Amino acid sequence: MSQLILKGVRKSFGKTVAVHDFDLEVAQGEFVALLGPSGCGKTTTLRVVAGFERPDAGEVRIRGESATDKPPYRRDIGIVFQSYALFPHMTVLDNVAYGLRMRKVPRGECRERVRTALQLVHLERLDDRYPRQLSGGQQQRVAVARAVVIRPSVLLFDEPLSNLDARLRQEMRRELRQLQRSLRIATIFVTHDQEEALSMADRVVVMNAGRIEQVGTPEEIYARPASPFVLAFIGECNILPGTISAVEGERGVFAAASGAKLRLPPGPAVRPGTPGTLAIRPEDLLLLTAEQVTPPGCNELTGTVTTVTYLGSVCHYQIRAESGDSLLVYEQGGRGRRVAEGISVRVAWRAELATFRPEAAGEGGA
Amino acid sequence: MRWRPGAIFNAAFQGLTYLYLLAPILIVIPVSFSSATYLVFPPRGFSLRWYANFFSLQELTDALILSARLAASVALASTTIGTMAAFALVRHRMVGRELLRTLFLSPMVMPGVVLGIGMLIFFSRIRLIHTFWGLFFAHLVVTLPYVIRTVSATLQGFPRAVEEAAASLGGTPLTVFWTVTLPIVKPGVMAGAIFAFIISFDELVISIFLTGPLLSTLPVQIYNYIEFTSDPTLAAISVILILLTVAAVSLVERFVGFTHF
Amino acid sequence: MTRRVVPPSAVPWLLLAPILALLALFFVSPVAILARFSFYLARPGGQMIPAWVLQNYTRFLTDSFHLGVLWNTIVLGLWVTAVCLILGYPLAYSLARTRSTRRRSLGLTILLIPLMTSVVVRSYGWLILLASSGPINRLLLALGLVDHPLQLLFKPQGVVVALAEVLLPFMVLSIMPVLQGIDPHLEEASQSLGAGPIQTFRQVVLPLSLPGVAAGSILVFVLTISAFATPRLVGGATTHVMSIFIYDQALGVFNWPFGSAVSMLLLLVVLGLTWLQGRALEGRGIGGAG
Repeated sequence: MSQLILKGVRKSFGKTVAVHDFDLEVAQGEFVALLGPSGCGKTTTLRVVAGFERPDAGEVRIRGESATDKPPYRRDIGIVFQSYALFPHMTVLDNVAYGLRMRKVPRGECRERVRTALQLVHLERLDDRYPRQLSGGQQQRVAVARAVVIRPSVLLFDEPLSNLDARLRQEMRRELRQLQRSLRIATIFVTHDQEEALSMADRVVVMNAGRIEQVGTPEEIYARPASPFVLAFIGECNILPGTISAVEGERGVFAAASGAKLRLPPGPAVRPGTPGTLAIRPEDLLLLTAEQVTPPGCNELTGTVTTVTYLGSVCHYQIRAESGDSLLVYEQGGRGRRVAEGISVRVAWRAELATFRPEAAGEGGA
Repeated sequence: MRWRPGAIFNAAFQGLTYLYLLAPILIVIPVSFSSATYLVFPPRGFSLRWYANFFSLQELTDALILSARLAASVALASTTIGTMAAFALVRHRMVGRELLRTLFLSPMVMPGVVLGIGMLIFFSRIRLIHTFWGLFFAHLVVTLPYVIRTVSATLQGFPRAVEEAAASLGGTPLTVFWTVTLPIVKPGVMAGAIFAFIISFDELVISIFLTGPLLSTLPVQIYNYIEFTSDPTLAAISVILILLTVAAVSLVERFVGFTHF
Repeated sequence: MTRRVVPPSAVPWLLLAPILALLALFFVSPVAILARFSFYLARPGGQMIPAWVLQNYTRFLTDSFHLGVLWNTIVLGLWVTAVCLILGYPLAYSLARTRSTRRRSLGLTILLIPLMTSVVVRSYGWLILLASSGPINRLLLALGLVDHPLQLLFKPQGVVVALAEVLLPFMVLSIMPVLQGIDPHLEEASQSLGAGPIQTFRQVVLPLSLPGVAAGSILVFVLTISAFATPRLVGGATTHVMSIFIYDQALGVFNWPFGSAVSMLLLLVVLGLTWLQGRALEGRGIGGAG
């Protein structure tokens, strides 16, 4: 049974439509990430689920019951805010016990459950501290404990890791995911960080300007982006505009706008003359120096290295091809080599790793 | 939050409170146009006679002129001295800075009657009682805290880094002050000047102690007038004063905005 | 390098010279002379003899009539503070939480108008409003809430109404910033955990707003006991508060030593409470986002 159902949710603020026709079902124990740039409506959607915003249309059902007309304090939800929103005038213990007190849980049971919750987030010893005495990471854990101790049907996270430094963020991602798995609560996690979404979620909802662009597993989102927006938003991508120039049997030839002639990946039949874009991920490109040999079945472009960005485990190369195209290539740093700027190179890729997308009406250039 | 059911009650409560705040000011307006010779409500008829009456009463017009002169000179002096003090307090760290700040702001805290009786005794001793200059210095003391507070607020909100950037681009301290600091601080200074003018113009309690039959400010005259009569001339004067206040408040709002407070 | 005409450490003192001179002469001296005079002996007929006696202080603090004046003053202060709190807190809350800056700006402007209007104008307005045949009584009669006009003028009730009007902004402006400093997510978190609006207010908002409430209350109390013109004009002869008492001593009876002593007492109370208010505001450190 779906713990949470959103159907046709629509929310505007004045003239701006923040969320259009949002549909989503979240099953028990499922971790769903809402991913998108600022202003895409993900936080608004979360707040509609929580009850802080009333939708103009559509409904919210929690555990089968309609919750659209219920105020937040009558919905069975737990929420963790970006700013943690811990009560500054209460100790950690009182903060976590707050929800239980509101539910009139008897004191003995209350104490037990709070202790368990604090153990879950590894903060048992700090129950008599005040929020201002805790570090950011600790405050975040208290916020999580407070939200889960009431055993809600739905758990909501509003960019909870944004205020943490990079290392802590990685750690917390793993911990939160483990915690959520062990508690088996339906969870919605709002973030603008695609790494976070891809690494944590069972399903990702990519949003843009209030609409759902794509819903799918992280693999589906990454490998089979359903729209130009998803393609551009998730990971990096090289995009070459051009036209189909010829079709030879199963394969076709793509004439890039810059002039290069490239082999098309196998796919649905396309007519010569169809304009569109060819997209390849930087990690699928091979950087070949003069003495290396191009593997068979690959497209190839010659060019010069313009910028090298060394990131430790990976190296980013910006290549200017002879045809005029600009390409981004990722090379794993494990190989120990670094091609210098100005060196003449070839960029090659297996034809089937690229994606051709015909230009739809009204899409314009990629 | 949308879920609270008493939203209408809330709005009505607030509306009534705002009305309460404005009530005495609003009520004098219709009364000032009444044609009746005594104070009656609701006012009868429509007439401008009370405005005319005000201008015909010598002691009131004399007081008006005195108050205006006084307020203008006080505003000028207060703004100058106060701005200098604000700069010293905000931009420099000196021994006893906090103590000085407390001292400068303390006239605001003191009850008017205390200052009044103190100045009465002191000025009588040094022969400043019932003089223009006595009033001048008394008003100066009272208006300075407001100027200092307003200018300080503007100065504090304006990061030193801007001046430092100007200096790094080649400006001498005097040039930086003239071309960068002063223009940015100007709204706060103007607001302070307007506050000083209004406070001096409206000052009552201390002035009661320092004025006499031959020298009186407008608020003191009105105060005496209220104690002895209550004809609608007072309403007419009140309307004029209100208009002055509204003009000044909107000027301050335009220069500085109220989010400061 | 620019030539230094003035050593840099002297600059602030040059800037401060005028105000220091001014305050020394026209502020500190009057207060000092007031303190000195409070120990003088007063003879009937306005004669004053330099001395160092405590007579004036003891006379005020032991006589039942004078203590009654003190009592009236305190009671007035408490009433006005209570009214300002009841009316001011909801106003401060709505101004702090409104999402429209225009509405807040408008509200603040309305709040500031009484402050910037002359006290004589306001008092005169209340004289009209609170009169037996005035609009308030007429309204009460028309609504059937009373069967004869209430005597509000020249009575403490009228003074409370008139003073609360001008001091309400001080209460609101003390509480509002503290409320604004409270993270709105705190209220949402409370609601998400099952606390309704009233519970949320009691458990979260109210405790965190207490520094502002304390500061505002002390401020309003201090301003009430310092007030002169409004109690005098609206309260008439029946209002015996300290400030009016001091005035009568100074310009009515010309007993300057006694008046000075009572002034010093008032001043000490005011200064003490103001210091307390400053401390209350320091308590703001606890509130706000985590």
